[in-house]
Amino acid sequence: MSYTSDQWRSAVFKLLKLTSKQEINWSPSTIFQGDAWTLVDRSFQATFQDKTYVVSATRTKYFIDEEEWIWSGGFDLSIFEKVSGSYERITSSPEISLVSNLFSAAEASYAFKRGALSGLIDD
Amino acid sequence: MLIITSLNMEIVLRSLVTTLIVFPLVFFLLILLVKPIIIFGSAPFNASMGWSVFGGIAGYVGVVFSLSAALGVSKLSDRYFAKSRLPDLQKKIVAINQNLTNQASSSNMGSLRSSQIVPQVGVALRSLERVKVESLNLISKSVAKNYETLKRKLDGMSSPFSAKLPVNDDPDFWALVNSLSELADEIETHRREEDARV
Repeated sequence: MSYTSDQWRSAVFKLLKLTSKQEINWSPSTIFQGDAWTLVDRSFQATFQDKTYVVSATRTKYFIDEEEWIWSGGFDLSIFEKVSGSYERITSSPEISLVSNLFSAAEASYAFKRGALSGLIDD
Repeated sequence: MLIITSLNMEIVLRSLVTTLIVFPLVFFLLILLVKPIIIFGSAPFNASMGWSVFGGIAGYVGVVFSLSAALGVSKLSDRYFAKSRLPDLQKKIVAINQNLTNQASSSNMGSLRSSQIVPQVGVALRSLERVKVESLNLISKSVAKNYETLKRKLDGMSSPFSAKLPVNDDPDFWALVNSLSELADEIETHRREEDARV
């Protein structure tokens, strides 16, 4: 058994809903490290029930041929579980555009929580 | 109003080609078997008659082939148009979807209506319709349905009470966001398939 992309979609969707209702809180994270071809630009984590969800904006080396490559931007959602003090990665989501929504929602909710504009719009 | 979409047009043209090839051929053979006198006449068969029949058939085949070539060209131009248009459209749809979800956390239905983001979905859908990709029809129809539902809700909103409802709790809003994201993924998949094909 494995999860279908429809199940993934509804799972990411649920996270999005929880974010917009402010039932989960996102904070900057360094758990997700990427791999040899992927750099993590910015990453947020949130804990819901016993899982930790990490959503990241990433940059991946996209090879045009053997030598030439360009950066191609993307988003990643990985699911971690805390096992004896350290985080263990369970899985990463397939590429669905909803993950980019989740990232921007997480970023926006973090900015709001930290009061990014509070000094400017108070008066 | 009669709208001939590319799908309809293709079916029409394809059946036209079939009709033009199959029916005359059967008809011709039938006459040849039953009453060859109609085709060859009563005079004894000679070379010039043979060439004339051959020329007639060749000309007919030429017409049919050029028709099918015209069909092929229109299909190619549709594909090229889709190839150059879809990346932009996909970016647009993802951006609209992000705007929508950003609205969700902080606003109510009244400010969603005044933000003018929802009508952008309609614009994107209409320009997607002009691209004429069959495999996207099904999902874009479901987006259109969700869009209509939400838009009717926003337009019909008159009492200040319903305008104060948070966007978060609206199932129609989330249905639209969900189907839009599915559409964006579908376009991405279609693009990759097309890239692999060329």
